[in-house]
Amino acid sequence: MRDDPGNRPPTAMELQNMLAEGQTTSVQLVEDALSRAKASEDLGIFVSLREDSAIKEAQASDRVRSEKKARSRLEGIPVAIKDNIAIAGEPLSCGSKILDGYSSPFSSTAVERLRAFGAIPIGATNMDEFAMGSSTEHSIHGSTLNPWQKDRVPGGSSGGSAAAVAAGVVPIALGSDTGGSIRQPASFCGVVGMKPTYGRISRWGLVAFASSLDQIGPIAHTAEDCALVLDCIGGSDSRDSTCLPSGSTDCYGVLNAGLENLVIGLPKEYFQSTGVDAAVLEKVYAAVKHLEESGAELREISLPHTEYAVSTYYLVATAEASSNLARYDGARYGKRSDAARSLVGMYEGSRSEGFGEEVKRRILLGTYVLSAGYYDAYYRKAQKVRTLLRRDFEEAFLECDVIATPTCPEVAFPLGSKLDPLAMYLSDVFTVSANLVGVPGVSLPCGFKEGLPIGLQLLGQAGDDAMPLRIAHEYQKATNFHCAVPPGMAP
Amino acid sequence: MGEAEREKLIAELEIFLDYVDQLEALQTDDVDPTYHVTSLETPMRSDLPGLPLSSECALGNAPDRRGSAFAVPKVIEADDEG
Repeated sequence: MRDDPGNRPPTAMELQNMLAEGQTTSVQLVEDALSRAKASEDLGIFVSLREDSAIKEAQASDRVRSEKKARSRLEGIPVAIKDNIAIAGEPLSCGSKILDGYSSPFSSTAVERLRAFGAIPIGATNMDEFAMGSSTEHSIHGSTLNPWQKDRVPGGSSGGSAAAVAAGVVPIALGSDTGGSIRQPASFCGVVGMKPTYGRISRWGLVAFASSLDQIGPIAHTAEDCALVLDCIGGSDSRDSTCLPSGSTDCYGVLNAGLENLVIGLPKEYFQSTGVDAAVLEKVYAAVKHLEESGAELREISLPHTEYAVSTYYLVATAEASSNLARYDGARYGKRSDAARSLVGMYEGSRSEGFGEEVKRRILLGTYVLSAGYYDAYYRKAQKVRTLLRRDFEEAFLECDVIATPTCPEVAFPLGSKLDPLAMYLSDVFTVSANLVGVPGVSLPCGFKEGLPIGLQLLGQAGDDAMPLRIAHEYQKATNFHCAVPPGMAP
Repeated sequence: MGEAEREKLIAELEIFLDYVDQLEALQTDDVDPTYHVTSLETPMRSDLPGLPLSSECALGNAPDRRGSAFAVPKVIEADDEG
């Protein structure tokens, strides 16, 4: 099946081969990406484009190549960056009015490393405000639309990055994942998205939402491209003390290690959960059967505290967010209320006018669960249940090498259909645990329901980022779900 | 925040707090909390002065500035003023 890539836009690996053989130039690739970004403006993918700087960087990359000094397999490849990952001198809004007009004085480690390896950021992608959301509908820049069906959400919060890859604008984009914000939009948009092990990629220059959960990660058409990116941008960083003290990974090098002797755990709580779309279950089950036929063993496992994961996640994440977002006070950067006459008035006015509804809801909730009298009942209780969730995963990984689940209980839902905040939160049920316990997770396309992509999630052990990528790669070698193209997107 | 926004938020927060009350069903008296998934030590670095961000750069996004300082509304409302 893989022999027929259909009309899928080329991967970074394929573009790299074309560059190496002189069939194209980085300038050409960047110009094409910028044209496609403009041509797909109706999807609301980008919030800013680096037109002149990206072309200049592409010219420099072509010179580097002509001198036979290509820096990596990402040399000259255009990439998109979520609008909460800083690029020096560029606007950084996090989809929020409170950062309207803000320009980052420094670059994130992830972007610095991408550029050091030769990749070229062409612009910033839309997102839910401060990464709080699952639909990319909560942004000051408006909603991003799903390239597969424009009346559907692309997922979120990294909806712009997932849509940028799905729509063929760029082969690679960076997102961030606090409770599923890379994997869920990857699932909804039919692309591969990875949340690495907590601490694998430096959070320096990633605007903080919930610091014990946030991770940057790649979105691409293939697990192979994700491995390339992770190997380039992962590794310790003195500017992020929570970064793992290890060097860079070699996920790419072990991609072809095969499936022999691997045990894939299927958590019964996920597969027997009520409220999961039957078509999603059917396709995910077909995908794991395929992995079994390719040499892996399937084993039913249990993650008994799964039903408590969403509660735990939203208590921990909102508590951390209420603390992190205290910095937006209108004093040093960002929006200051024009009506501010006193210091307290400046704080109140700037925050009331600058934050959107969902962000206010979470700040208030987080402040409440941290307050005296409620701290033990909510915040501390949630951190204890987080320990129970960790134990679930530790015990499960005694029985299997990787855990397979649906990424989401459903396919992309219609824009404006989830007005109830709790209903939106509950859609994160399969993704939040990986953040709470710090393990790596990959979502990859494994089928369709009525033209909308379905995602298979593979969760690995903390530190073993290569394992889920390796299994995803084997699956993609034998299937072509990642080669399908959204209607109207064919070149 | 207006009255209508306040009422709506209170109702939404109550629904959420009712939902998370499910955690009460779990016995956690002997369970230690996990505040962070990595068990890293506090890293130390050499005590050398550096200049991570110049003041001009840090002031670049200031909504209001006076010379090399951020300007904010008056902090202390003096009684004897004027």
